[in-house]
Amino acid sequence: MDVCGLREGFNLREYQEPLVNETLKEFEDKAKQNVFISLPQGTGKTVIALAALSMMVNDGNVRKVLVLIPRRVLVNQWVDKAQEMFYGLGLIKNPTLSKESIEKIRGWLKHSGAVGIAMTMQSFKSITKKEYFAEKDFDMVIVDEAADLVVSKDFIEGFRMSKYLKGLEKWQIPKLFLLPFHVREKKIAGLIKKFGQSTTLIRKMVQETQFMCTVRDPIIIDDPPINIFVETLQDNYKKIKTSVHRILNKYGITGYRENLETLLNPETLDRLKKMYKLDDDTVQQIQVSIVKYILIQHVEKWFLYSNRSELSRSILSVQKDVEKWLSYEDKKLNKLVEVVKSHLDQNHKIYVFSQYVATAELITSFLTEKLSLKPRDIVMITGMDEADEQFEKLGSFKRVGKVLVTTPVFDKGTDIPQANAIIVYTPPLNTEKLFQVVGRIRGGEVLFLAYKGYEEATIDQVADQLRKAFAAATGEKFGLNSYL
Amino acid sequence: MKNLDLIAISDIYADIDRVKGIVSMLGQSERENRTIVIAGDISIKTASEHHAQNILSLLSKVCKDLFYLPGDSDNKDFAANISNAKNLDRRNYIVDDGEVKVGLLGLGGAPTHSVRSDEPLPYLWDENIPVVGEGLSTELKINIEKVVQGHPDYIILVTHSPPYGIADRSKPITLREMAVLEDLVEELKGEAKPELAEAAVPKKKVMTSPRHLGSRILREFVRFYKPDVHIFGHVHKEGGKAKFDEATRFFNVSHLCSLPYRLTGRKFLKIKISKDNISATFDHIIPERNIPFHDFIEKYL
Repeated sequence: MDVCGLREGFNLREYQEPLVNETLKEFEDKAKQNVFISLPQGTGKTVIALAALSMMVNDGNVRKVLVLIPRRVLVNQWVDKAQEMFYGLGLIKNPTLSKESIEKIRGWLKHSGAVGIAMTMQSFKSITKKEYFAEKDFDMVIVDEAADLVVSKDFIEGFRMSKYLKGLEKWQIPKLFLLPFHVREKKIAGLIKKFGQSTTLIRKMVQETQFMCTVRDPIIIDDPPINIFVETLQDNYKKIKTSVHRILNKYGITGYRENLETLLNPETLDRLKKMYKLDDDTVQQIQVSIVKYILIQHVEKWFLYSNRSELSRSILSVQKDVEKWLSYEDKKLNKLVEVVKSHLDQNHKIYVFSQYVATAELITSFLTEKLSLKPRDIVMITGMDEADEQFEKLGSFKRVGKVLVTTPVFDKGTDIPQANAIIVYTPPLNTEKLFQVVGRIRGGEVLFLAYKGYEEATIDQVADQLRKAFAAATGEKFGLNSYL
Repeated sequence: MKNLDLIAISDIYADIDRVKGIVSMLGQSERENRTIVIAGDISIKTASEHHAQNILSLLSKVCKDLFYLPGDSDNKDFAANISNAKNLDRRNYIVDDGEVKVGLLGLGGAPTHSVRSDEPLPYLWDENIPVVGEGLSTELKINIEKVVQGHPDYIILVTHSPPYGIADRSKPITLREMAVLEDLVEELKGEAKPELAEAAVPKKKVMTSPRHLGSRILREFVRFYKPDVHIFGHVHKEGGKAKFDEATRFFNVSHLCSLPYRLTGRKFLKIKISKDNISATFDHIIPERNIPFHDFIEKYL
């Protein structure tokens, strides 16, 4: 009799079963050590992993599993999902890290019938460092949201292991990694390279219409002063960049161009000073330029993302044009109110994304005031909330909320299928993050807001990229098999 | 009805150019009607006392009364030798211009938990040590009780440290601009993403996360004694923030110096006090406000 399996009333989706079998085949028949599963968000990567685990437990190949997840709130979700859908897949979650507790956990693991432990990646770093647990304690590792398993450092070293999961690549037991479909090809290649020969990738674009979003044309806001401010700042930004590049070229310094901020590091500057014989004036020139370069980026974001409170506190608030602009209500926020209202009128649930906490707070208070929302109607979740609180707030939105405002705290692994539309108020830092954000909802509309002019052109491109991605072909087209 | 003009500044860090700037902006014309309050960090620990004297001397010329208190970077025992300058640290005064009477009391220095442990400073107190915490609390209570006996129209508390939980959220205080800029780089990337920020952070950086740096003693004191205004500085990142609760208006007036936060520095608070009302606005020491945006960025950023 099977030790574990799907509970009554739960079934795998049609495309999930072959993926489970393929995973088992890779581990059991082909004796692969590392299997990466890359599927679009919402296709049930976790369920596939749980089903594969359940079969490996039943086959007697796995007795204890270690599940690693990026955030504590997701650990709870993972373990709850395992228990809700599968019998016999009990997992101990987030063990405490004192030595005494670890001894208790070892005891529970032995006698409670739990098939393993689920913990955050940060905890993994800590427990392995303290040698509370080691590879010998487990027969299998599952890493969910594994896209950040490797992080790029620079052009010389390429991808290196995340500091939290360092050492995992040396473990010899089977490891199953789950990652979204839209992880950059270069990054996937980096993952595979790190984990070596005994690695395989299962990457499928599941063509389910329920996961496809409609990316609308950006909603344009006409506010001419903003465009003047932003273009002026952009102009300055480009000039500074060019001047720093010129200095780097003059001294034959390679690298750093993608991330000029690195040059703020006194150690880096000292090194360059010695290696390339930079004089003090040049070093100072670089520093002054980069300081300005950083401040310009800040100010630009404040203008574009309605951060009037920061602008009001800044020296810019006394410049005549900025002072005038600050004297009238924010047009972007007003447009957001309009858009949210039109959705609420249709009884839709809305998810508003902002990259920045300050903007999320602003959006929440503005929407609350303008739409007379009750506290239960609007939920804001940011990294300022404790993990448990984030989970509770999300639950409250799913049950009774109308508007959810979040920062990237929920860019990974958290499903928000209840939302009918997502409004991207401030776009994430790169396309991969954007896919993660919009992938949280299941279908529905993706809306962008942009000021007419400079921002319009940028956001148009972002929306276009997103459309193309939704229409993208299968994983094979990316030529990833060549890395295997 | 005549107003009492109160100018509140803090965190000057011996930036004499900015002091000259505010002196020039304020001018002599309203001198007799003006009180200046400095909420600490007049100088820096490495500068000689002469700098602080010089700063107070300049400011004393554009006001009738000048009240100051030492911040964590000043010497606790610093005393100005200027006739109209009074040390408000652990003391109280009444300003009475015949129309409106204002009681002032103050506390200098800052809690040890609010500064980076690798930057020892001259005037810190550890409020977690019971005898220290109780001592501070008692001194504040005695001072407010004395002020109340003078029957002022308003009571203004001036401290260097913010009260816990109000305009006090930041990483522990540092004046090193490079460290501040590293924080700004992280902020640009949005919510905490340690992996992303890593590339820009020097390896030996003291890694800390933002938290409330204010004093719990002050929070408790304000909660019970409800001064009308609480002026403070110290937490540079939150400078220019104002909060009003049912009884007290809180103002973080940090910082007059152009650093460490270049965008939000050069700041001061103007408070107009009449018998019936208090109104406050922040301003900056920026003389050229009517120049085009492009030139402004070139000049001041």
